[in-house]
Amino acid sequence: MLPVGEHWDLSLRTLGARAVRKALADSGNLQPDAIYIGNGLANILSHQANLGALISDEAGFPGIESCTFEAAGASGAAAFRAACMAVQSGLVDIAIALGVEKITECDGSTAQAAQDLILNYEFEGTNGLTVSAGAAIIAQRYLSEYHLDRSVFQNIALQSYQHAQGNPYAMYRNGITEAIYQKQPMKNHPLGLFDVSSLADGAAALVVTREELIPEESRDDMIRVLGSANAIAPLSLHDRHQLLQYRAASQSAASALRKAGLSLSNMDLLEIWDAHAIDVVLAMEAIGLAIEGEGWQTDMTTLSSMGGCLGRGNPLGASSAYQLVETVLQMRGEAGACQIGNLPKTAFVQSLGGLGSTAITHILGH
Amino acid sequence: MKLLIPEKPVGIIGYGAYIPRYRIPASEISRIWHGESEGTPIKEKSVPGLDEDTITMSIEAARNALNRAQIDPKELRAVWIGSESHPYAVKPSGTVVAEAIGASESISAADFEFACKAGTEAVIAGMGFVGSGMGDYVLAVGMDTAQGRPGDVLEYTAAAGGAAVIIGPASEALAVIDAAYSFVTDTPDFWRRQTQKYPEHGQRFTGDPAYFHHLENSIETFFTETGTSAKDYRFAVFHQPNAKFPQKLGKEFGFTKEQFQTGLLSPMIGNTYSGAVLLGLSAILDIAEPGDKIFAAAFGSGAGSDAFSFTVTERIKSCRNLAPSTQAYIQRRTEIDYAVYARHRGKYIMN
Amino acid sequence: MEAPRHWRLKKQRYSLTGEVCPHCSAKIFPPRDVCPECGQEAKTAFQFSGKGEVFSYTAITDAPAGYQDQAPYAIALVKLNEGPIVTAQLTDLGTEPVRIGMPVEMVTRRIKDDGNERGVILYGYKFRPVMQG
Ligand SMILES: [Zn+2]
Repeated sequence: MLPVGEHWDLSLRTLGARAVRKALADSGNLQPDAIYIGNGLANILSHQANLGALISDEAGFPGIESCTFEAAGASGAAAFRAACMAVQSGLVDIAIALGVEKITECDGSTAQAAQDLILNYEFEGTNGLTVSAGAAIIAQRYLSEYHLDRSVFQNIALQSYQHAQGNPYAMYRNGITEAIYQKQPMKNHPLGLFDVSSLADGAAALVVTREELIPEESRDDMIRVLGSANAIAPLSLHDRHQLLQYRAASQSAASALRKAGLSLSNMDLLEIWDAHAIDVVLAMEAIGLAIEGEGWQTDMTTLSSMGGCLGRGNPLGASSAYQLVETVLQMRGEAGACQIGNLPKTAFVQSLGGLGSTAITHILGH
Repeated sequence: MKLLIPEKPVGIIGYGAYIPRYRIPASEISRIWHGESEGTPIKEKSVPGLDEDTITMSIEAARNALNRAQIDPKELRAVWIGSESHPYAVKPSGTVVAEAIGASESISAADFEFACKAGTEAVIAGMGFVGSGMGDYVLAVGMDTAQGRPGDVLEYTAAAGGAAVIIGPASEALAVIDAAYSFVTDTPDFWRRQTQKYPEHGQRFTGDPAYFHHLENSIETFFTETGTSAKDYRFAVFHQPNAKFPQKLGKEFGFTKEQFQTGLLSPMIGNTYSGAVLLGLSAILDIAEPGDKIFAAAFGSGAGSDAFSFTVTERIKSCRNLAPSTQAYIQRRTEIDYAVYARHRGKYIMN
Repeated sequence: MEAPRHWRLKKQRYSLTGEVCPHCSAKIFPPRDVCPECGQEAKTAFQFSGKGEVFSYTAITDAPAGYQDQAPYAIALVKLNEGPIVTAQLTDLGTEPVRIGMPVEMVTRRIKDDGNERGVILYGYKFRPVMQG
């Protein structure tokens, strides 16, 4: 994992290769057979396709298997799921899941336009919709339907920025006060500047293998993948039967838990997607952590424990890899100032892509 | 015989207006360029929205005309757009409009240009098309988003708007077209070269040798040939580059204020160029009664004039309310200042 | 410039031409090969009236590249009277504040220039408050 931020001095391949090497060092220097790369926007922002060959070679592994997975914000989780499937099937022994995003190669408006490609280009993007405006449209409907005002997003944002204060890899480490939050400029009404995550550079990687291949001395650090599931819902907001139901989130959560043979109440740690404050609200309701209309009321202490997309920053295709690495750190007791009270034995990690149109959930355990 | 009268009688079977909602007061233009005290030729003018042009405005006017005509757009056999502000120098406005209103692909589509009388030119062509039996229905639109050079006297009046009419058999008409007459000469009173943004004009030369000479000729000939005079018409509408010219012209021929005030829209919205006479006609049709006779005379620089007479039929009563009235568009207004106007008209250089 | 794409979608964009499912009668916009309601094949053209109401909305002040010419603008999900919801800009709002439930009607407007002032002009649907009179 590399710090999230503006890495003016690092290119896409360097970011990716460094995260791969850090993950391998952490694994006790295992030799990978495959590197699966989660990335959203390199084709546009770095003018670079074929990241498998580019980054895996840069990391020093010519000859291995490597290719890219794209699922907007959930790209890193998609790469991680691919690594799990490859290893579990026996086709691959040691796989690396890398999430990498290089946002700052181009000017801000180009990066913005690239991010907007996760919408339906023909019928949303072409009509002038942006990602944050899409989130705001969902939020506006939510507030109207449940007779709420925009202050319901305050706790979500404040918690994320507070958690990020203890995360050395986070982009926003100064925290924000209630007074600052309340004076924020609007991004897209009713979402303010602090309700919408900022795009930034980042790379994070995880090594996935079968237990018997892990050296004896590293096994204490091992975290098990107990369940994994990916579900999609209609891409366009206008095609969703219920705008306020993140169907993909509920389906992938239920499916991952079922595979793990566990229920939500077994989870010691929840890592919930917070690219926009409204994403948290609707994910909470979709997963079953809150009833409809109350997803904003939940005690936030175990959500995005290291700052989430809002506080840590949002390196789009890498963000879900950050979620997974951060969860591993918490479960190992290595989360430093962000460490939650009792060492979590189980964790629920959910990543969303494209305003809830893709949801990938992983259940981790000891 | 100088009159233009088709073999088969024809008429207007549907009409529709469009005026964008933004207005800049003439006093605001005067404030910027001429000081507060100067008199202004009109009260205010219409300005198109940031997402409007001759094509979008023609589409709305055409939809209004179709609503009143009560025909399937697939029955149109021609879609002709008269304008001096077609969005493309090369690529027809007519095909976009035809596609948007759901016309068939088996039509004639073309753009007309004759300065301010491009719209009535399309009407005359439509009379011939329908009157010869080549097709039952023709859509003819006069629409403009006129540009005036900043600081030029035309900036006070160069406005946006127009109207669409559907020409069809007289038996289905809400107003039968009795006859038309067209008079043209080569007179360079106002022009715009291919890649120029703003037109040039001959200042006072645009008055007597251009506007008045051509309109006087066409009206006089029309009256002589038809054996009519001002008193035979309940309403009259003339091309209206400002408030003064059409009133002076009307009085010359014995028209009274009662006859021409309904169609005199330029004091409230400015000069809509190719749209002006058809828009004035639309305002008249909004209130005319069966049996009323309407006289219309257009002027286009370069130069020429088209004169028409119409007789309103019973059908007007049943179709008038099937689309927004001309006055509804005039009353729908958002006032803007010169800075916003300059943005709407693309006067800021961004690159 | 992407002239073929805009050309292919012109009927949808210019006049809200969608589909009606021959199996379950669902009205569909944008048109698609498989009916989202019953999962069967849908290919019958259907002309929407263009009338609807605002289902939700927001304002865009930091418009994306290609859209700055018209910023700031309001963008909405509009629920059409026939059922489907469409994403579209709101235009000609005047002084009336946008609200959920506001009746709106379709107009065809300039969406953007494809490329720059040398490119094709993209026309498409927007919605405005229902015009009176
Ligand atoms: Zn169906």
